[in-house]
Amino acid sequence: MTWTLFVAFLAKTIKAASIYIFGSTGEIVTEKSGHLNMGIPGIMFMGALGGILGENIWLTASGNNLNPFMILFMPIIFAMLFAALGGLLFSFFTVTLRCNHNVTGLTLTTFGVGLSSYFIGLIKNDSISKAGLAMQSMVKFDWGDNWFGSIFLSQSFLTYFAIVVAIAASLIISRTKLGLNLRACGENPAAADAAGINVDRYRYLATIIGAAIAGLGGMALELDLLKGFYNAKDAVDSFGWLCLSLVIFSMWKPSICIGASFIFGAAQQLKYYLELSSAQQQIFSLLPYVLTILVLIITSVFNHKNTQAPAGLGVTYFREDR
Amino acid sequence: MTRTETRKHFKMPIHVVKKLDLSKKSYWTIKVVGILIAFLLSGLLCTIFAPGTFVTYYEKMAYGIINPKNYETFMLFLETAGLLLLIAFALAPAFKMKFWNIGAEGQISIGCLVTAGIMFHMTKTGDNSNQLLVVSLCLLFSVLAGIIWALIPALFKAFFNTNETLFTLMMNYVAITLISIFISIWIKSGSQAFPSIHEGQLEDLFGMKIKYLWNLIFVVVIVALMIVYLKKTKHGYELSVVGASLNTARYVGINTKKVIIRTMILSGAICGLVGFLLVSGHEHSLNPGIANGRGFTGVLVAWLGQFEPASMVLYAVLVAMFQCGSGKAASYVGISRAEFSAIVTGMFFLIIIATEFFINYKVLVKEDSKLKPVVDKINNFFSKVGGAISRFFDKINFFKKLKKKKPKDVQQTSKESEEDK
Amino acid sequence: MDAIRFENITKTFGKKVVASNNVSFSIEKGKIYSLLGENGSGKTSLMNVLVGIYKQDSGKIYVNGEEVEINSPKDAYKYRIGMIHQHFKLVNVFTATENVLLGLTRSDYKQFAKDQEDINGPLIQNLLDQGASKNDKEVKRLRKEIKDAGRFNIKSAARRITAICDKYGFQIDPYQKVYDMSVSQKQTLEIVKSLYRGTDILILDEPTAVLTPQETKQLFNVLRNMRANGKTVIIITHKLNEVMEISDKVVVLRKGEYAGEVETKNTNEKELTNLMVGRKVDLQIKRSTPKNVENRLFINNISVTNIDGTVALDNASFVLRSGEILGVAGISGSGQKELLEAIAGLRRYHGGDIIFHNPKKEKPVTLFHHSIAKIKRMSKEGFFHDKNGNKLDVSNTPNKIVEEMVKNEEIIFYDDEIIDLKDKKPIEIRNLGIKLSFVPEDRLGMGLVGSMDIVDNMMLRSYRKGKGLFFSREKPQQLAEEIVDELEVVTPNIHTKVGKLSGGNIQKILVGREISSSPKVFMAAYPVRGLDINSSYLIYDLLNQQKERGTAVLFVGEDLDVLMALSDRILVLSQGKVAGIVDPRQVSKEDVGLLMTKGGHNND
Repeated sequence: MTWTLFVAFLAKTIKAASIYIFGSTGEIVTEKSGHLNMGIPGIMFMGALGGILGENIWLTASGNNLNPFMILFMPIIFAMLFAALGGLLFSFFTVTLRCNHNVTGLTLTTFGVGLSSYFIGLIKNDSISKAGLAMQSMVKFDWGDNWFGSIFLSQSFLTYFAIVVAIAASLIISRTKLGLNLRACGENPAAADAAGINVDRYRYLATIIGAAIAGLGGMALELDLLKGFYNAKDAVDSFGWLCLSLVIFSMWKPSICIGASFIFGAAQQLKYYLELSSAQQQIFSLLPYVLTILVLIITSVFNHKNTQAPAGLGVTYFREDR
Repeated sequence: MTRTETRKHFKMPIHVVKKLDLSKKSYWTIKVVGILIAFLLSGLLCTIFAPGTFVTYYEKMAYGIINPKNYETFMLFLETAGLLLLIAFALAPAFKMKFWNIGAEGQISIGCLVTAGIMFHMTKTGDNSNQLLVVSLCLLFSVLAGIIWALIPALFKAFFNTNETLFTLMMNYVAITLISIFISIWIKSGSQAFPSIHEGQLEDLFGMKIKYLWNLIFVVVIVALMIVYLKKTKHGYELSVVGASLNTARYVGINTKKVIIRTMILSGAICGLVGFLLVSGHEHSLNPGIANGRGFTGVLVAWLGQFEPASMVLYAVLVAMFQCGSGKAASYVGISRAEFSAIVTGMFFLIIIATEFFINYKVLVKEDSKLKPVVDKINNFFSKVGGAISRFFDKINFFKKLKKKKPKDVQQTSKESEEDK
Repeated sequence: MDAIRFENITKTFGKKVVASNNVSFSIEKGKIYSLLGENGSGKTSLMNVLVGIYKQDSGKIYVNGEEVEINSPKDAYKYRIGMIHQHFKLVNVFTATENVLLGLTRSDYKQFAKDQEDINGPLIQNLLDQGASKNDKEVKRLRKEIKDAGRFNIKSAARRITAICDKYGFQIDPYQKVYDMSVSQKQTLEIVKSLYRGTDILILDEPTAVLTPQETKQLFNVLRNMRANGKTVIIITHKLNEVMEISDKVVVLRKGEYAGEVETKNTNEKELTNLMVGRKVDLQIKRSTPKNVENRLFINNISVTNIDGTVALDNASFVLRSGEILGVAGISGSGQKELLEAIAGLRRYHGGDIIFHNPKKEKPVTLFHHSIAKIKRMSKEGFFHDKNGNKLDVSNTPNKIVEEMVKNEEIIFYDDEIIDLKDKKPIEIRNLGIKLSFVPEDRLGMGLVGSMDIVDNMMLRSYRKGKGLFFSREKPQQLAEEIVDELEVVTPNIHTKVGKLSGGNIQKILVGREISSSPKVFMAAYPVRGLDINSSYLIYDLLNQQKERGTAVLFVGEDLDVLMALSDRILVLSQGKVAGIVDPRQVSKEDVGLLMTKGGHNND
């Protein structure tokens, strides 16, 4: 690999990582409340749909006005809104209707992927790529000459935004009153309830906000990384589920998830930059899953309390069950 | 000194309590209402996407299941339902034991990979050996592969209490990615398209040329065996005790580790077999998405059917109806097929999941709430619908068997159980 | 003024269970109260009404003279009432401070800031008066402390916790994780949590049940400190010695009703017992004279340690005899559960062993109880003689011949069979041919499966019988029908899920199943708990039947009257130790009661 290629690879790795960061940060926020939302691939897809729609609505309404603020604002708001709907649906089923988390999550994935890819299919391909190109136009930094600039300073807004969101989530979860109460809901809902915390409200909000963040990942994937060249299978397989495994890999800590996302991003991108046979390329795709399994095994064998999933993860809480 | 807190809290006008005693009749009534709603909504959805197609949709849906001109349509429908059912039955013992094996997709995929590998190499070497031998080899090794895939998380669960939901989930993608890797290895041209393989096709066995027939035979036999296993064998009994209460299992001296491992071996074996059927009896080819979400759908069928054979059969058939029927119907009325089928299936599941709530819980509305008349109206409507359905049940004597035994003294029992609380 | 006044509180569950019946009394401010009563006398229920977990059916609660309505624990906090439940409500992976901060509201923080200002304000003023500038380091620090107290700040909270600990004499590390804490530390944390929110009235439910005597002493010191600081403390208990030691006043409840109130210094344990138990009830439980009493089970110096390191059973020794009911008395949590589970092979014990003694002398060996390999091994060790009374060693004889000899009853025991049950699992005990039945305390959590029907529950013990993969439902079905008929189980049919039946019927099914195997040893833990009078008497009759047919019966009870009337001997457990074995025909109930609380005194 030449130096220029290496620089390009690193730049792309960071871009890919931003999607993982969005997806897994969203899922961590959700899981901290005790909700195991396996509908995250579906929700990311709904975010992607929202992003494309939002961008198209703006471009159509304004006659291709490339106002930088609106170009970013519209897809972000729409992606978060659509994905939040998915989160709302999930929490309605698991909190209000007290349904099983696994079943609801898996259904939400089927439903979300089906619904979104149907609607994305309705949108003309060139509209999608136009939206992608509009998003690309947001890269205004012109530091491309040296390696530092190419890798760190010429990323799109979304990439920086992802890191900011993850750091903010990390700080909120570990440092604030809100985060403490949230974690209590995930660890021991009965104790949280006894301390006067409204567990249901926390779970609703965490799931909806988490879904909105994850939705941004779907949008970033669609408009930023794939530049509007849409590929459903690729999106779900390599990103949606990997975000779930990233949560395990980073042991439910958003701060670790930033670093871990770079590893996953590199594993995802490396195959395009090395002269590998097709089989060797695929082995790189295998890496994240195997690493995740190893982390899962290691944490359970050593059984250290700080690296475990929230104790109440995946358990519906009903006060009268006590 | 009393600290006063003036902020008034929003008081929920409704209160949810557990339903303790639900008769079989009301259970099925709620389910049937849910299913009817799902059918209705799928038609409405179709009308939204393609206006004015409400009736056409159901018509075409029926064609998608039974086409008088082409028996294969119906066979395909049966096979879709059958494979789903088989997966659900593979998962049922694990779920019954409260081992959340959502790795069926991977266990199926790895079975597919092994079968396709054997078939591919047999075709390549041009070894026109005994068809039966090839098929048997495929069967044996795909089952073994499925077992290994299920056994790994089971061992870690039994000895280190590793979270099985996440572990099995990850194993899915390892299996799927392994398929991609092996396709790349086997197909030197670099294209991911796998050729159709002739050697080891299940249909050719004993010259039976009817498509999917062998698969159906396998389904019927294995499902029958599984029902017997779950209901009649010591193993089946042990695993339900382990699932119901670990303490009770300990009390009667059941080795829970052994039960976990044994059950997952069985679960993996059947999933591996499904992989074999999928390649040898259906696709005759291989691609990374060959399981096509069947593993996950199987999870839903098993869970929603609550591991009861009759319910699982019902749900498997219904899902297959939606998948085959709505897919066909959609393409007739000009909607993209796979996606519409996914939407409808997803919606069907969501509605059925929601009915679980009405089976397990009762909603009480506070007397003074404004919501009260609205909820009452909804209640009235559904009790009318429910009444009609239960009258129908009565008519066909659906629950005659259950009524045979006259309750001894039901009233007294319920009174006493109240007191016990 | 009274801190709390209950007026005609009635709380019922369902139609028949009356937890509190028209209870009225007052709690004076700044005193330590004991709420005394037997199990099921409604102590905990009444306090749960006070803290908003239950809602009373009728009656009023007054706090500081004002009528209040308490609907949730949060409301209770508003009136500065806190309760430490028996099951702690703590988040394991959080530190002590984090647990304390859980769920605090903005108004809580406002109050904290105010509290801190009350302390720091004068200090600042003092400094300023002494001529310190506004920007003086110390002044700034004090100002910041006030600010920090009014917001989410771990360090500030930890400081406040340390201050509370110093004030009352707790020892707690604010940064320690709950999972690293001992039970007593967790309890301390719960108390701190309550005090941190500004509790004036603290209720503790059986606080000493999980503590060692030393820890109990520490807790009592803390409670006295709290009293010195003007707080009101109510402890729910049924341990008389503790009542005498700690409380200023005692309120006694009996069967959900208010039984009386006394000043501790004017009373003694005997008077309290009488108040607690009431007039002697004539229970008319028949007790036959034991026949053919033989030693059956030797329990030699066994000890059981819990996961958290506390000693649940301490060096217990006794002999269980056939044809006799051995009652086990003791306040709950004195090691009864552990003792029974250890005997049943469900719990590891250390120290000594448990020996099963089977009168086999001059009886032929059977393949039912011993495998061929085991017979060979035993014969080498000289266990058997042949028909002529000569020593028999078959260790080198081929298996087939040994099998033939067993069938012809040619291998005969020299002596009684003695089996060491140490480290044997339940299944191994069963495979040794020892019929040991156990009715555990937790019927649906351990003895039965609530989601299975009666027939399937019958199978729990017997499903392994017979070779092959399949079980048969025939015999369990017969058994289920028999039990339903004979014990008059009220159920729609034998295919009803056990969990749907009432407590009494559930117990009949469990006891019926355990008796059906004609056990050699029969153990029952609190078999009549929650049962009505008729069902209870049926269970007593069943225990008597077992005794009469020569079973060694171990009966753990909580009602002393019943224990006194039913048992042939009573073993009294106190804090995991055997406090004594007495003959109920010769001692009084009060004597037994004193033995039950003896352990605490001995340890002082």
